[in-house]
Amino acid sequence: MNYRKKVSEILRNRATTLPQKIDQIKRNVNSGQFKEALSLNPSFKQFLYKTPYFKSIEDIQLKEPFTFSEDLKIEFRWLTNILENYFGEINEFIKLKNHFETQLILDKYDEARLIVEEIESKFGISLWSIEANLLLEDNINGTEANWNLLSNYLTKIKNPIYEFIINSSSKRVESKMNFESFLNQFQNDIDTINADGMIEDFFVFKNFNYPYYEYSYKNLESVYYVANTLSIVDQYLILIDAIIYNIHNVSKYDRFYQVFLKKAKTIIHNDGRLINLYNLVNDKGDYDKANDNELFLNCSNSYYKGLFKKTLELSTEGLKENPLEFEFYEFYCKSLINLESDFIEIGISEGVDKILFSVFQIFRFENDEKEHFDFLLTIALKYMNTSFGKQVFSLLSEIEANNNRHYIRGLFSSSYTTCKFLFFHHTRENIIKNLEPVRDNLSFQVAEYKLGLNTNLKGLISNDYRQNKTFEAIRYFSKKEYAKVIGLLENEPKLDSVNYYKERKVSLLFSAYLHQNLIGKALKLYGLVFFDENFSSRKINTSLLFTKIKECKNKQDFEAHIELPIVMSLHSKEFDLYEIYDDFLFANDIEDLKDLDIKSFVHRFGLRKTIYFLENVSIIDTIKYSSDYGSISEVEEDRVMVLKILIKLNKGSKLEYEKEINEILRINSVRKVLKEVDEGRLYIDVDNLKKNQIKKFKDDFKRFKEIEQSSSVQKLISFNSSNKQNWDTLLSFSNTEVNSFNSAEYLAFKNIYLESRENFLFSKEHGLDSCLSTRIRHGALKNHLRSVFEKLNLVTSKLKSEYKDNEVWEQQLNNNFVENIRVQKALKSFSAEIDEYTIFIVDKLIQIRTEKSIDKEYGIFEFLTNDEVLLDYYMRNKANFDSTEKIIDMLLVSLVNHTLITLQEDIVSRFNGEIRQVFQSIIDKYIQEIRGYNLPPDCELIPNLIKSGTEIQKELEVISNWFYLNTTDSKSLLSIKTVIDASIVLTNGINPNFPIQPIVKCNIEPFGVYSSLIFVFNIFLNNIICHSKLRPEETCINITIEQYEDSFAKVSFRNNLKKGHDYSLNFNRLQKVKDNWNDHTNIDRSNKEDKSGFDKIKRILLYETYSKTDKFDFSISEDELSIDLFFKITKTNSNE
Amino acid sequence: MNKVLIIEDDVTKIARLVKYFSKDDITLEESFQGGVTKLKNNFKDYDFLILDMTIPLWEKGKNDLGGNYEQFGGEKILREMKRKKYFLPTILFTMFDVFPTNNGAITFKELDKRYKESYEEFYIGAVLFKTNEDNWIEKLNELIIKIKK
Repeated sequence: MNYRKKVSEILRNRATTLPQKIDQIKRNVNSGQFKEALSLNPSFKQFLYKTPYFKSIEDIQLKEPFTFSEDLKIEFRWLTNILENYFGEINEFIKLKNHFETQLILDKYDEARLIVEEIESKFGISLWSIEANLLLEDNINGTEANWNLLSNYLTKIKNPIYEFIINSSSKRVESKMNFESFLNQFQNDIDTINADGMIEDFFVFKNFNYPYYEYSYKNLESVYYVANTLSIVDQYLILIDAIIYNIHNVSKYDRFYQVFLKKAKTIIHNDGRLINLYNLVNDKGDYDKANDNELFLNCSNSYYKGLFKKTLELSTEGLKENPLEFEFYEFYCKSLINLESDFIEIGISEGVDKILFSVFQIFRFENDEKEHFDFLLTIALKYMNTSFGKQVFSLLSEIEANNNRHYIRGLFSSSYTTCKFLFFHHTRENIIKNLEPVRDNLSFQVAEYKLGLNTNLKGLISNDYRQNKTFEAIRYFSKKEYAKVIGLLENEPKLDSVNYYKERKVSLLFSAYLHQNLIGKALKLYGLVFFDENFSSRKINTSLLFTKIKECKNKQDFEAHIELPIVMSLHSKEFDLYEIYDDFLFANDIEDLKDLDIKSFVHRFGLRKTIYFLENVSIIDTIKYSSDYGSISEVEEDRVMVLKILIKLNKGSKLEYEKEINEILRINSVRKVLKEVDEGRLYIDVDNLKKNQIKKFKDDFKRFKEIEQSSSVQKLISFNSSNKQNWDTLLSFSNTEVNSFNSAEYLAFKNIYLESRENFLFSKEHGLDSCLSTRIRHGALKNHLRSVFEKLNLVTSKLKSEYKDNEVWEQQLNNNFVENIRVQKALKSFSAEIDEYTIFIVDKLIQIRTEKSIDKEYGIFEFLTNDEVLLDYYMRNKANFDSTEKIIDMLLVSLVNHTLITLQEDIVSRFNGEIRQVFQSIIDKYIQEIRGYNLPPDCELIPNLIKSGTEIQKELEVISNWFYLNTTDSKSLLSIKTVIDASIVLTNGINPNFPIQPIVKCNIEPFGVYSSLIFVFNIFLNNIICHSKLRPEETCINITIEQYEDSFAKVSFRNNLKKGHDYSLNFNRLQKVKDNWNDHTNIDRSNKEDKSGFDKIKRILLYETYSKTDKFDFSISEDELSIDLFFKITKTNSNE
Repeated sequence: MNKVLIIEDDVTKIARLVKYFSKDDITLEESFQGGVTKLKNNFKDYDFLILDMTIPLWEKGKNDLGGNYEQFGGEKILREMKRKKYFLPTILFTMFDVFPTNNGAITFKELDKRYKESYEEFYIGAVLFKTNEDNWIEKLNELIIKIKK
């Protein structure tokens, strides 16, 4: 339909407002006719053009962008249609902007400030002017002033788009903000706001368009669209940046942009970029010479002719005339380098000299270039919205052989026509024709020569030998004549005399080697560069080399090169690196690291490469795959050996190597503690038990003996204390007369036996049940079992009585509502079954069963007896009962053997048999059920369920070994710090979804403690996890060990608390613990599974670690809880 | 009677394999290193290898705190066999029909296909084991017959 008809229709509809009418035009009229359509009614223009600028900060508002079409042509034309009315003003703005940037680079901040004021008075407040003010403020008064100004803006501007952009601007222009840090902060900011694709595109493009970013709208339709909301000057600046981005991206819209550019450049002649763009994209062989600059061309021509003195003079003149033209900086510095001169300040401004110096240092390609590279990155960041900043970034991209859009954007940002434009001939053939009027300049001819184009240039182009040879090599390279590149450069040692040419040579050679698949040569060259103390190059692309090596099927030619594992270590690790490492050792006849003859190794490969290899390749994660090692400890031993070699080879890094050795030793100690703890979970202090019983049963034994003597004589049976006593088996082999059970002497013995057993099993100090309670039932067993399923995200915790939804699968299945519901239901039921069975194991199975405890019918610690068994035992052994010591000893040995052998075997077989099968059947049931669901192929739920089957097996196997009974105190003293470290590892192991990272500070010499203390610390840490009500990432734990009075060490556990949560119950409980700390009468309560575990703590401190003192303290404030334990200081065992 | 090397650490699978190979001479290794050492020392003594995918690096008690589980330990053994030319006919024996990786999931069939291409010198095929089904026996029979041919 004709646009006039459409507009008439739109106008006739009285139900729509004016903005709605304009919106309908945007949506319904062909974009090529926007201008005509909007001219049909003056009210359209009145609305669209009513606020081109915002006079004051308070006036700032978002202008109407109308409906987003998602179409490049519509959005581009809509925006440019508005802008076309302001070309004159924009030209004036650009003039002032250029002037401002010049004053800024010359450190003339007062003048610059005046210009910004002038711009604001003429063109209002814009994002550009706000950033200019922040930049000035930061340069003049420092970053704090920048923040104050930002705060001032933010209090006045209440608009999220402006707030985000201004905040970013403020950070970006901070003097000390480095590129990496800004990148991270910006990434966080973008992630946090959670904006949709359109807004996110705009924010990224406007605020930080250096890093690679995949825009949701590939042609930046989103950016053009959102720009509608801004003031005219911001719209224009964003528009030109977006055109440059798009032109780099694709050439198919060139003709489309050409129309706008032709129109714009005739009026906005202060923006040189429009002419550069037009000269590139027009397909008419048209050339606008407005950017031709005689001084610049002379400078370029003389540089490529090798007339460096002249270039130096011309570039100096150029810098004075236009300090914003960055190519002059490059010519100036390259001339100095070619003249082999030191750096000479130019004296225009401190800022210019600082930038020049860094450019100079970068072209020197020495090892300290990073500092200068980073400085220039900061400049590029700070001046990102200026042509100068873009040119700086362009150079940095070129230095890294990254000829991408940044390089291109820098070219367009040049004030002049430069021979570098010929770079585009790959994508736009017309460029050669368009640039015809300037192609007779030597610089253009050299560029064509280097690009491998047809040219009349022959023989000596430059007066400088090195420059000439480099041109030749580049030409061969462009023409893909790699063998010629290699032939030429391998025989040109003269290029090595100056790093600038050496860098060109090395980078060209390296790439040529890769093109020719000469991997061995590329590796050697890489080695030369990487370990050269006086040279550096960023163009050596090791990723490409790495890929070539991976693809190469026959590595024999270069397997023996040390550079091979070195390069691979930059891009791979673990098994991938091990294969290369192993091949390298084999190729060099080194069978084992232990056989390493370090002198001959250094002789063969050089010291620096040897050090690098030992530091970065021969590491635990690589060498552990060697079949020479039988365990992780053996691997660690060899790593320590390597580190000791390194200490000798590289004394400068001694501290670092020692730190790694200490860390290995620490991990080793932690591992040993955990092993000792696992192996000694069941510990009964039989010696103490015996002492107590002997004392206790003295009278009983006397009575027994008296009774025995007055009884008739019985046949004696010898007793071998090493005989295994199987109480269960004995039960079924009774052949003794029932009436014997009533004999007085037997009953006297029975009394001693029963009391002794009671003591062995239930003594609050040394009994088996206390041990089971504190070390196994209290959290440990349940948590260990549950952690297997938690780690694989198969179980969730309960909220009140309902299992929570499983977020992991909810996220994976977020597009599949029905399956998610089914999965959630199944996993809740799975969680319930796992928990139910785990609780059954803890509460029912891990219990002691005697004939007295009817309620422990499932208890697997069976200590059942009856008169038949006992009498038999008595009859067989009574002859040996000649002293209290002897009888107690025999009874305890018998009980220990029963626990140690019979019960342990039974427990191991049950954990690895029926208990495993119950878990497996639960898992299998759910695998079968979930297989019937329609889950996406990459959903990891079933693989995780399968994995849980094997992992629960392993865990049950580990747990079954906990039940080995230790009776002797073979434990050594360990450093308190090691035990704390081990308890952190233990706690994290059983709470896989609640990782904690306590900060441990030991302010005194570590003192010795027994490993059982790990359980005390584990209870503390578990309490923090359970009761602090914080999420893992919010939880901060500090553990401090310090001197207290003369003879105590205070160990404080401090953790933060959730704001606003009522901790009064915790306070009351801790106060009670403190009040009763020295009351040991209720210690047998420790066998009950109390909530906070403080009774258990007291018991462990008293009877297992012998370290309880009468001191205990705690404090609880609004945001922190602190618990203090006190220990008498004991010296650390020297073996620890 | 076959001489079979089994590299497997799952108790359930081991029990079923031991029963399956009850008339054969089997050697069981439960870790990557155990398996590699056996292959290194005398791979020619065996008729074929039954290989699990997820195995620990060392035997129990020899590993680091986390357990040194190698999710693709079986694949690493295949790589060692190729690199060191331990060309022993190999059957992958796994419970996983999908293998999650950092670059998306790989199905059992895809992995089998990939291994047939990469380790054509000695890789025979893969058997999918399910605790509650016996289809794997048929597949294993089939692959063993293939080896014997």
